Amino acid sequence: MEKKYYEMVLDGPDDLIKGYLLGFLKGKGLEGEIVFERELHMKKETALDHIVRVIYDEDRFRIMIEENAGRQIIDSLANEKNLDIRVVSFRRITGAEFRVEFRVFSREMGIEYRKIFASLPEGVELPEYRREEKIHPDAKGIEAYAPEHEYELKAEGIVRGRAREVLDFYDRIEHLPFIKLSEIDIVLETGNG
Amino acid sequence: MRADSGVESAFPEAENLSWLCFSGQSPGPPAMRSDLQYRLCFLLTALLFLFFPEVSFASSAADSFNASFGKMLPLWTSVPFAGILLSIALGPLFFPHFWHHHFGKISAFWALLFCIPFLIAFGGKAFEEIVHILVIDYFPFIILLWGLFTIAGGIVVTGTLKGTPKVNTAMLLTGTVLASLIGTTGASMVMIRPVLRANKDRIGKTHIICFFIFLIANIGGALTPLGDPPLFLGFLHNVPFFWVTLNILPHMLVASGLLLAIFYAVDSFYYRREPAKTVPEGGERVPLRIEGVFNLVFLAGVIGFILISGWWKPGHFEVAGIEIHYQNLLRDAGIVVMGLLSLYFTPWKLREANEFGWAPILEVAKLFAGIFLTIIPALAILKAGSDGALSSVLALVKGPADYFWMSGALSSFLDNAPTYLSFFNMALGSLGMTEAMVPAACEVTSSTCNPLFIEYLKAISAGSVFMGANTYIGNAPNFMVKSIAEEAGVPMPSFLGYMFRYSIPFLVPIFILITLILF
Repeated sequence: MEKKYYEMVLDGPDDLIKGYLLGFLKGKGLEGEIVFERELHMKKETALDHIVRVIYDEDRFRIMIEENAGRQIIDSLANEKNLDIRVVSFRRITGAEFRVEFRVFSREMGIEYRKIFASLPEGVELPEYRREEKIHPDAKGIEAYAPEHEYELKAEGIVRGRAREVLDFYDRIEHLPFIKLSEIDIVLETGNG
Repeated sequence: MRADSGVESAFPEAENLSWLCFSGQSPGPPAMRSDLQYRLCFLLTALLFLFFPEVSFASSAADSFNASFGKMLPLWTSVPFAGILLSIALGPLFFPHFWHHHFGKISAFWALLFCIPFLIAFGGKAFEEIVHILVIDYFPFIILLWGLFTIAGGIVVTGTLKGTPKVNTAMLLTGTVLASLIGTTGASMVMIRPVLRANKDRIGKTHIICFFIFLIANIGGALTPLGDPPLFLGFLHNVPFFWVTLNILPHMLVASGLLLAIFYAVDSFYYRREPAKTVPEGGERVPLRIEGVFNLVFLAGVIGFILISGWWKPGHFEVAGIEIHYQNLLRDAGIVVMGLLSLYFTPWKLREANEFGWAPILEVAKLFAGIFLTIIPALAILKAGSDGALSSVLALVKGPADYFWMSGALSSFLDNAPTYLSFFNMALGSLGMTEAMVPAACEVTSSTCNPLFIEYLKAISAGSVFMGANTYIGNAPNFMVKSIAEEAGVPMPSFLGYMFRYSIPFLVPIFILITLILF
């Protein structure tokens, strides 16, 4: 059965929240069901959001968490009267997406990159994908003052799909050379929380 | 409209042509009188008056063409020179595909834009100037680059080394030494693939290629006229062969020593962060081998012929008023023979391993034909010193540090060979010297020594060679290395990324240090 993931926003000191969450999940045997904000590659808050948060002295901490684990945390925190941690929101994530573009100059890399984007993981799709392959036979060999690559493959598109799979795919390709990725845009279900 | 009497005697060709066009009558055959040709003639003559107003109205007694030429030229006669240098700098960046296919035509355009009005204005004298720069500068320059490129293209380093910081530093050091022997382009061609192979499995390797550009594609070439084209131009203009070796050695040692030390530290930092699996074990390696070593004999031959041309003075003969020296003919013929021997004796598979082809030499031949032709007015103006149109610029360049930074700054964005030649002539002009005085001025132990000129020349040589590394467009091998590295899967920074992440943080502080301790 497909797991449901939620975005949980917590208010409190970062270290305390992180320590609490890791300890709680370890104790419950639920490791791997949580993704912290830094690992999420999520869009950063806007300058206005940041100002508002500083004015109201809020210390926000975002995570992505599997539904069952998230609900257990909410229940647990409700019973912890002495902890300075508060759940601000708990909203279902319906999907995630990011922009990808790359430009490579060797046939071997071209084949490898085409293969990666031709066999996407289940639950991930690549709409608006544009790919352009150029071959300039007269540019073969070394050139100094008028260099041009003999082979060039460039592509761009949007990787979209189920949040967990999109995130895993992001982690898989982000260290490849010549790849440029945007931050991940998490799509939340409205009216939840 | 007629040229005044002074012009009639000094520039009869120009006067005849202006009369021909503006009278609307042609003494030539009927085919010459077509409307198109009439219009073309009118346009060229208009250009003539636009470019050389003094031809018609100012010059009165041009007894010595060379002496007065630089004094009478307006600065904007150098526009084609600026145009071709900017085309070379900006073409590969902003319209690479167009540039790749049409750079020869663009070079020809700028050359003709200068040459046609120049020939119309100065006729036979202009023709002599053009032949002079082609015979004295262009052909020897191309022959040397061809020879070095051909010989270096036959030397192949095979095998796989493990890309550790020590090995990488040793490879950069080897390339740096090699650059002064086979030229920066040749050394880059020989060393880039072994460096890429050694670091194939490493993730963070962009810095290795950037330091490769600093050291092998630029600074390493500072010790001989073979190393970098500007220094060979200096040799062609009477700077003794070993002058750079002895005089630029301290600057080169400071720059390359510091850069190698910094590289070792930076590479060690990145190496420690590499995941263990990216560091290949000994079993995967192929022993290191250098093939085509016999090409070093031909390289020694090239050096020998160049040295002979500096020592042996058997005399000269004249063609169209240009002195052709026997020793220079021997040098050029010798280099050609060495190149041909290298081609004959080197198995083609070795050249294929270097992806050897004639494209780089054809590029140099086409572009430098344009550069050497369009540089004529700029050099003449600079030679005229305080009497020329650039007297205000000359007044700004006061000491060796100014020469170092000015020649370096321009070499960063324009090709360093013409930049060197321009500043070389600026130094001559500012000191009231001629090229014939250069060897004597460079002799430290002689009473003819000119210490100020020596300081200027050190600054120009170091500035032009070192600061070619500041940008991708500062020296031809930079782009070549970038292109080969990208094809091998190394993500190279953008034009500005290279400057702000590599050359400004690493090179500029070293150049400041060199200025403080050596200029």
